[in-house]
Amino acid sequence: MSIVTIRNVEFLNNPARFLDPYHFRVTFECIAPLPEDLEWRLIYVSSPGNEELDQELDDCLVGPVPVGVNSFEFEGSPPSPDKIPPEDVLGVAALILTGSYKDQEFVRVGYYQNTEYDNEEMNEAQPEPIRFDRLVRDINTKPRVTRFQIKWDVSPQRPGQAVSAGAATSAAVPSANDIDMEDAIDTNGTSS
Amino acid sequence: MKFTKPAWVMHNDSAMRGEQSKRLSIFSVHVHPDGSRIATGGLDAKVRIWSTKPILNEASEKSGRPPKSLCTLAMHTGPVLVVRWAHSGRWLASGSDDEIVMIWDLDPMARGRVWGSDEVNVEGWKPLKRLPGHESDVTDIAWSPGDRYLATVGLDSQVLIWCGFTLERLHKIDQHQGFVKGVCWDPVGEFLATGSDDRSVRIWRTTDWTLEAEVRKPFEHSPGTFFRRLSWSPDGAHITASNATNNEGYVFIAAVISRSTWTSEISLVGHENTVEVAAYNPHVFLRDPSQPVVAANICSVVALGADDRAVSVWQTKSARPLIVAKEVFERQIMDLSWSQDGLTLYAVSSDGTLAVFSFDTDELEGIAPQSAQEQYLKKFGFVTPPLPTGFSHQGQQNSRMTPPPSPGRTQQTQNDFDATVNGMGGEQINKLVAKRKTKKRIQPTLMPSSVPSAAVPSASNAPSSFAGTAASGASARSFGEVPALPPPPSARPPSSHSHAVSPFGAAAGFGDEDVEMFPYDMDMEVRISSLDTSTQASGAKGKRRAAEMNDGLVSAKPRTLGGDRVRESVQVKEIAAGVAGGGLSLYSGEPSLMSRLPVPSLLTYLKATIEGSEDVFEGRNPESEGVVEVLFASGGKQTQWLDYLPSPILAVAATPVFCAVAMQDGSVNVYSHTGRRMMPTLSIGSACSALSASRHFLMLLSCTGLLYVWNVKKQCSAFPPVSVSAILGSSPNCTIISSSVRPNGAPVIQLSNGVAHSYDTSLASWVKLTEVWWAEGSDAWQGRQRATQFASRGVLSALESSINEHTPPVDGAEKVRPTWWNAAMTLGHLEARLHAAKVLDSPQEYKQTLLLYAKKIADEGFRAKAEELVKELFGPVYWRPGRDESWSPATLGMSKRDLLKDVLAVFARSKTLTKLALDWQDMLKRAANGE
Repeated sequence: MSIVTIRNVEFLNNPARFLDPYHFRVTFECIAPLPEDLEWRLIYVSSPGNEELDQELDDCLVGPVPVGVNSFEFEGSPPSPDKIPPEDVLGVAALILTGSYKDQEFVRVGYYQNTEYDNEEMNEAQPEPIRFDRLVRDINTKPRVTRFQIKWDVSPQRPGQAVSAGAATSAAVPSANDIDMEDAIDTNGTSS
Repeated sequence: MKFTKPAWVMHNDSAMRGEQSKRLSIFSVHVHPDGSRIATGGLDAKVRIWSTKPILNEASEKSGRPPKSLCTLAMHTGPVLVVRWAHSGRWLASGSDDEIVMIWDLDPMARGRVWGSDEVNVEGWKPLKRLPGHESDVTDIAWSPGDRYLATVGLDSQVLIWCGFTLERLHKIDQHQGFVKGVCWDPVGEFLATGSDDRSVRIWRTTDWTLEAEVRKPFEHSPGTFFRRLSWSPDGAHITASNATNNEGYVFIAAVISRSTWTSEISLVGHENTVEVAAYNPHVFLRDPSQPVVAANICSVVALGADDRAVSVWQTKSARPLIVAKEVFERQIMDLSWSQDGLTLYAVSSDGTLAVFSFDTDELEGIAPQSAQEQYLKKFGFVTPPLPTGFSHQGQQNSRMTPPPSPGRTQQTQNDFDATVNGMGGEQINKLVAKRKTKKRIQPTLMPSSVPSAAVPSASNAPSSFAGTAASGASARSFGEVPALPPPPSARPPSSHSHAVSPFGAAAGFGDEDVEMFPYDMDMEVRISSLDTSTQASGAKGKRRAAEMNDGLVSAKPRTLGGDRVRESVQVKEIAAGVAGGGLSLYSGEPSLMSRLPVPSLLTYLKATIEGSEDVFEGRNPESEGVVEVLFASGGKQTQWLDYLPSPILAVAATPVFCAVAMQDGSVNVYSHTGRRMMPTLSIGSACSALSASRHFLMLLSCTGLLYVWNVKKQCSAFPPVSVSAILGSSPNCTIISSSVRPNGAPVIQLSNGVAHSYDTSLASWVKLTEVWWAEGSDAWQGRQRATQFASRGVLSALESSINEHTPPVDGAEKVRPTWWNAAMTLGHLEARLHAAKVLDSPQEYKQTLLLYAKKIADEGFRAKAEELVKELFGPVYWRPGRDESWSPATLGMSKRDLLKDVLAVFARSKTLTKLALDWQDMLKRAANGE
């Protein structure tokens, strides 16, 4: 059971130029108070075959995290061009966002990023050396999520800390027979 | 009665899409008190909520109104074993393999597309509270009458009682001595009943949570089951408990336990296998509806689900069931739930399907209204303890389930208002500020000396490599392969969810937890923060805690992997027929060999008995879903250890030194007798056709025709892999009849053409051990003797008689043979056999053959052969022990000169070689005297 569940990840500047910082917002739900900070990392994977070439773009801490739905914004520097093998610059690369608690990774979200020139001529001619200033990136917003079981180590609740006051405070549950599909679909779906 | 099985109610493997998606086991079902929705819990670690109208009403199913799937809750990280709606209908409780009980609450704002998946939740449910406390799988949950309490039970043998209002933990009952797999409340509110693998049902008082009674008799012989779900009758008079037996375990029953005497006089008999679950219809029934609601006039209706895949429904006034539904499921029934109106029964099975039985009121004779039960229960006069002050389950307007007008439309406007935030509508979101992680924290400047230097990353200059290695640990890195669920560790079968299907998957308990996810062993790595002096104290504390945890695990009795598991016999069945030569052209083997090296059939059960003991090494392949496992049982009974494998088992082999298992994917594991891997997993690359083991040696013949022999003790190969194509030849009719390895590592391969081969390492060549050719003229051919004479049967005589069986020699009696035929054939045969006995390390046969050979030479009077043989055995004339290392004085552990003595004795008795024998006997004597 994960205490933290990502509700949404939004890229606030996408598409963008290759050398622009990554700017995005993570919204997550936390169902128990966490005494320590959550750590989030953004990693750029240029060459899937070689882990050594991964670049950590940002590493930030968020906390203390209250119970409920939380969001934070996060800015990661662009990958350093000289650390990317020239043959891996164009085309598809991966962007990985990881969430950790107490040095244990509990979620890993992967995105595909496509990189190309901002004009057709360069895409066809492929200048040597690579003109990084003319590159643009586009992140496919469909996330690929892997969750990991970790030890959250939450201390047992103390009496009197109860969050609920009985089901009376909960919403009434209407009959499912009256639910209509049109009401429900795509009222909220913006992610894909 | 109407029966229906909605195919769309399923928990599927989210890695697959559409048609290919595989049905995963459903462990639990529960109907919402308003009857309009059900919740199910499955192997996919999800809770799913479905509307019932499309199940019960065909028009609704076709129109898609209301939507079939209402909500998917994916927060559990292990299979969901139980789901239970509160009586108020406002909350849903779920219990999982991940040790957590969750309380879910309706959240009108949480509708919409689920981030990171293709699911759309048309009804939003949010996690209200996480109830940690169980230390193993949570198997069953029950809300008490009026939702005053919540009881949860699990494989940690504990019963936990939570306040139904505050959701605080109130009490822990730890008196059960085995996994607890069922729980139910007395409708009066006075008692709680639990069913456990310790073969008891216990009844607890709700006033002080002490033991009221312990019922053992019906369960004395009860076998292991996935669940032991039990149910309390609505009139409070009886508990019907699953998994009871009569006649010392031969008759599977449900036991009906009477209130206050707590004895079981009534059995529900008829199921052909263990009863897994019992569920009472929530209504009381009247024997005579015209009479008043009094004890003597009350009866009840109870449904049973069993491992025989049948569901039965009983009315307690009759000794026979109302209905028995057989062949409804393909696997055992895991849970049953009655709708509140008492007319609909839902059943789920580990085959991954849901079935629904809808009754008419006249079919359920004497059904009384709910008020009759409420009225009747008052006679018990039990007063429930007062509620915690300020808490209530009742809404303000006392309107429990009032549907708000057009629920969808109202939210629509809200979403327009705040459309940027996906799936959260007008919900309140806390804005947090991300702090940049300062690299200072990981500067290794003031490094404590106790920190092993290997654990210190070069953090100051390479933060990214640190991120990739130290902290993310064992996680799957390759993004291109990141699946929606955690990737299975290598020791898991490819069907990543199959482990919990067999009743023992959950009973084994540990397997689920250990293999399921990626537990981070805190002791394995030094936490980075401990490198910093400012956080050193907390780091050290963390380490100490980890050490304490480990100490706690060390129990007084030595544990073994799977040692506490009940060993269950498995019927041997063929799952998939053997493939005639793993015959894919992808394999690198020679095409001509393909059809001749069959891969063995995939069986449910394979066994290798360890020579000279009762110990067995077993392999088990699941029939459809389940785990592939090997286990080692001493004396054929007690499981000593087990291991789970990623690929189905094709063959097992065992010797007094090691056990080996060959898998379909071409890998081979070699274990010691305590279950340790003695060698790395060998990757052969193609399935095995044959596996054999003897003492230290393991032999494998791949379906591509490569023969491997390994010395497990020395961890080396006896010779580089060699192809059998050289001996199999090109005739498609020549096949391998048997293949095995000798204790000295020599392979023995018998072909259908009547030739047996071994591979001689020093000659780097296949050698013929014996062949049917000799049968055509040799006096010494084993087949000439009667089968009963094989008292001291060696490997070669066994081979020869086997060749006789498989390849009857042509009867040469009628053929005209040349003069020297018989002599040449016999001598040739005996010479070949001498070499073979050496290759196969069979000293007895060597000596026996040598004497036969000497006799034949003597009989024929071949002096030159005789002299050469004598010289060969005598060696250099002046050889003395320790003098000349180039000549070996012994063969197969026998002294050559001692053998010579016996040979000369044979020669001495002959007519032609007496002189030769006497001369050499003299020589031997002189050599022995050191002259």
